[in-house]
Amino acid sequence: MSITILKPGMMSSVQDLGRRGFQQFGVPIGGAMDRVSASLANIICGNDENEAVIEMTLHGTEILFNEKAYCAISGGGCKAYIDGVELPFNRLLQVPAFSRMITKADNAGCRSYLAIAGGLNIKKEMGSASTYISSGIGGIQGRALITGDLIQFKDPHVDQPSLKILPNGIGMSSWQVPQLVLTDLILPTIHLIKGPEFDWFRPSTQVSFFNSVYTISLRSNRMGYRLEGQPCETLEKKEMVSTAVTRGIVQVTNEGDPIILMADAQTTGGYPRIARICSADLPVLAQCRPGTKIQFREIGEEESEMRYNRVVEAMKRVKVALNNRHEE
Amino acid sequence: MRVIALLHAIESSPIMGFIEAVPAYSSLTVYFSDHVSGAAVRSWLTDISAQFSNTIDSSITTDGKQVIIPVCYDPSLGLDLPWVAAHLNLSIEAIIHLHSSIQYRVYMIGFIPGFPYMGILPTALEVPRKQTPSMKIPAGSVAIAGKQTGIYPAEVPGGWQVIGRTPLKMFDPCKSPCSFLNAGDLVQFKPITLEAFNQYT
Repeated sequence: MSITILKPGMMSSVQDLGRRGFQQFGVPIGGAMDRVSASLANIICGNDENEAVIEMTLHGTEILFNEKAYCAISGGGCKAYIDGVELPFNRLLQVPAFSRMITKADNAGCRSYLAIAGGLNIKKEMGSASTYISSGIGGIQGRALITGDLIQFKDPHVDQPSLKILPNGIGMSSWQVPQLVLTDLILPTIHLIKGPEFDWFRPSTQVSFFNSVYTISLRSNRMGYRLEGQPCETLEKKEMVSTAVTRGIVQVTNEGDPIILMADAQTTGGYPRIARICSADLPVLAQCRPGTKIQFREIGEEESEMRYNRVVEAMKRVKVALNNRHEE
Repeated sequence: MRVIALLHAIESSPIMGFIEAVPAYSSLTVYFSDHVSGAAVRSWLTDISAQFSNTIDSSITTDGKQVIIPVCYDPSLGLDLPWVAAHLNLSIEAIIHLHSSIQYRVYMIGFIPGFPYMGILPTALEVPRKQTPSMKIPAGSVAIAGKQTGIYPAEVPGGWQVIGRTPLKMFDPCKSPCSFLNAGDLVQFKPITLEAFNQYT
């Protein structure tokens, strides 16, 4: 059983929840930019949350299903169609053999996740199927997907779900899981905690950083988001001794531009770390396309943990609800 | 190397949910899973560092493994050797001798998978980074910048001055451990000829 990539679109790659324990060797965590939506797509399919999925950036992706499959799409950034029928997000879908799924522009969000019941058959490297393109690790030959890529999927463990079947054979569940990562936000608020070198910055920067609007630059990718707006100034020009960095850290370059480190961030860096993003907001950032304006709000560690735990709880509720449904 | 000693102390009594600790020059960053609260991790680390301060002078060893790395310093591989020689007003032979005569400590692995940051370079070998980074530095390139020396595990853009190349593979995702070197290791470079480099399998 397999799918064929007919068009990769803007950028598509195989991702799971990332590889852990290798940052000490210079290998980033990587994995889905929006881990919540990737997990949701898997949960809907009855998969383990960490199964490999296809991360699609914005639109233009075309995928041929060579066999019948059960699948789910979550996240944002596109609308998906088969034969002109729009495929709803966050529902279990049945796709007949030889269907061609295409994605078209949507005005909200940035990344969508296609999970297939059973999971994609991708060889794990260093404990993960995630593609880390810069080093050619994981996924399909360590690179972004290209036209002609054939991806096998494993036997689904969905036993004949009760779906509403349309005349053309496309099926969809009557239930829908909630969209946990909102993608249609205008000026989303991103919560952050002061970083280890926050004191290095001028008092004016310490105030303005949390009170001004930043725009996500076009020079943004899976490694990091560059921000345009009020530059951040340090009190003195100090050389920083390189130290560990990871996703969610906001570092400031010598030119004063803040950069938010994302999934494929380098594991060490030599720029002062002005702040770190609350983990609950990283999926929100993953859904912000270049040009999106964001604002920051400072929170403490406890509130940050509380916000993150709220997301974890919401995911648990979805899982419990779906399990009950499967047992009905 | 207090950082490495502390790393060993942490790794030998991990808290539930501990993922890894990443050493750097003067810091140790601890990663843990989201099932543990920051407060729990903080109290665990406070305990460890309290015990650590008591034992630092006696029992904890910081000996990393000692590694010899063959390097060919032929100018066809050490692409920036002529520039470095001119800049430092040293002969290429003197550069090779200075670079390979002492042992270096691996302070951290970073930048790209398997890239070791090593030091401390003899003062006579200190050179600035390139004004404009090279678009492609070949895999295996041994390079210097400031007080540091390093090895590029893969072909990437980079700004350090390349003085030689090792035939060893510094990073292999299919191997365990994936990185040839670890923070804390002691490295000595051994000059080899171009013939030896080419025959290396």
